Amino acid sequence: MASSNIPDTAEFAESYRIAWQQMMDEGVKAVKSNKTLSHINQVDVQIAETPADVVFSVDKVTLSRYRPLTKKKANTPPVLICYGLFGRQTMIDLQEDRSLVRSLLNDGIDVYVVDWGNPTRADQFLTLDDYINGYLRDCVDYMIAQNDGKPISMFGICEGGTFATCLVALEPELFSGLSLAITPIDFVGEPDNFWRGEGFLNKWAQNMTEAEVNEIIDTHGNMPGALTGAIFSSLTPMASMTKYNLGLARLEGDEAATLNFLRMEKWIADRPDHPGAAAKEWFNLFYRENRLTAGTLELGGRTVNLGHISCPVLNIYAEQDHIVPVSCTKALGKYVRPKLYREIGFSGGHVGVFVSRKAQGVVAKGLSDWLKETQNSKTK
Amino acid sequence: MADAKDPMNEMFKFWQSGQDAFFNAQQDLADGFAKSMTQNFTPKPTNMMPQGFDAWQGFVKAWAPSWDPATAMATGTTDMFHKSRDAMFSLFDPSTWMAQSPEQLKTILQGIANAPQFADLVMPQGDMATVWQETMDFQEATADFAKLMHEAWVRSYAEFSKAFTMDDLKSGKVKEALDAWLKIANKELLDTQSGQDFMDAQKKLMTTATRLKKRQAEAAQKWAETYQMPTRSEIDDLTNTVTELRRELRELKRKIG
Repeated sequence: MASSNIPDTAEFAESYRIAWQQMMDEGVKAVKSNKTLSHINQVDVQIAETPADVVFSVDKVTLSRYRPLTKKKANTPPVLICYGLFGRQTMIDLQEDRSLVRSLLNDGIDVYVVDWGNPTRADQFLTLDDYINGYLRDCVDYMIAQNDGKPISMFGICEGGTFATCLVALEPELFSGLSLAITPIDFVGEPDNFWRGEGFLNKWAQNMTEAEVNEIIDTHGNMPGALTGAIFSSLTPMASMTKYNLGLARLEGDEAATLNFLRMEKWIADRPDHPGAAAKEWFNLFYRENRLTAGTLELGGRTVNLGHISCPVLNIYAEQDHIVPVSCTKALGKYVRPKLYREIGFSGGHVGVFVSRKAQGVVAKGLSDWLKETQNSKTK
Repeated sequence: MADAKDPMNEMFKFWQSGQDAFFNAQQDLADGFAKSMTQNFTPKPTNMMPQGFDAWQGFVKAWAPSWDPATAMATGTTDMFHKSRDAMFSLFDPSTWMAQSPEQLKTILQGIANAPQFADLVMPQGDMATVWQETMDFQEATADFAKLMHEAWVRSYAEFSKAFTMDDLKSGKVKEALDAWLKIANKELLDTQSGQDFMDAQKKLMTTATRLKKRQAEAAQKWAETYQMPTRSEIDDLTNTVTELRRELRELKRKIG
């Protein structure tokens, strides 16, 4: 309890001794971590190692098909994984035992992934229409051609999930299923029910005017990856501030845990710039004006109507998601017929959906089971 | 009547003197041009230093009292820079003049920045005043943001002090205290970040920083123009054209396919 007495010299010396002892204990942990770190080189920290081949490319965008890891073949359509432009798709394949891709491949599912490349100022005028109706559609067309003209299944993540949702709503005949993870649909959500720290990004964007958003992005040409990275870090302030001292020390030199930490660092450091025109649309049309759920979003001159989604939908959300509030992602349920719609709530954060060990059992298995159950090509 | 030693007054006088010299030079140029059209013309040598030096000296003395320009000039350029480098740099450091009377300075800068444009007069002082003004806006935004965050840390510490004291530390609860500190500070920072004050302060910081970045880009653009190099906006125009062409190509391919 609080004490107003000033400690005398003996008391101070005693407390100093105890504190010093504790610091020594923490110091030993830090030394162990330093020792482990000193053995690790850049080449030891690899991510996205599951073998894949580039099968299609357009401008900077590439479509890769993963090589099978097993001889068994699931009776499901090929799955296209679509990540957003704010990060890299490598998160789905962080390491061998924490890889959504490997889980799907081990179940015999045919998996493709789209890579948006590394946008520079030369890409600043690319719009969301270019990405969704252009590049993503090109990838889908290629896969459908390879699949004997039959529809494919789409798995969209975060912003990529919103892209996938828009394309499925615009071209429902191309898809046998839509699965989503940590995907914003309603960009307002239920602010009155937000827990502490939830929905910061929504409030942040809504506090800006259109002119302010445009000025920031136009000045840089693109939305700098460093800026979005700083915003994401600020969502977990103390964890971000202490990860290189306390965080590392508390790993106590555990090599596997340290390598896992470094793989995450590698993924975080690889944050591309978001093409300018598309970023302005993302913040203005989606975050500020919430046009997707209002039914007023137009892409390529066509209105995106969520009610046009006619395939089975799986929506995976994270209960402790700092970036995409649960109410913002679950809103999709209002627009899809109940018999087609299913949800999986994962007890973790935005990135934990893919990189935690627990997620491999819940998310990867849930997705694989759903694909086999709802899109079994033999029973259709 | 303003005090003769008032820094703002000195700056005003310096500015006025520069303006006068500038107008005189413009007048000389116009006279010369007119004469050149009618007769053989030899440009009249103009020395603007005498009329501007006193004002400049007064201005420098008012804003950087530790630096004596007359002595510095007398001892030579190299020595001047060597001996009075810090004083000279302080002249360009906004914090030197911001502390004097930022609001008064801002009002003056605004007046200069918003002065009407004349088609045939170069008015660099307008651009300079705008940059000064924007630098001050950025510094103000930085200070406001830092104050807000400082207050959040103070609140965190006050909250932490309620839960943990020296007695607790003496009993060996250092790790527990550290974890509690992380939790309390995290809570306080998240609460602060979700508040309207933080949102507004952060927005102001971002927009003022963006404006400075924009000036930097404009300066780079002017430099590139001067040296006949492709400018950022020219490359952006080309990029836009290429993007449009790619769109058309994709549409055509789809129509054909």
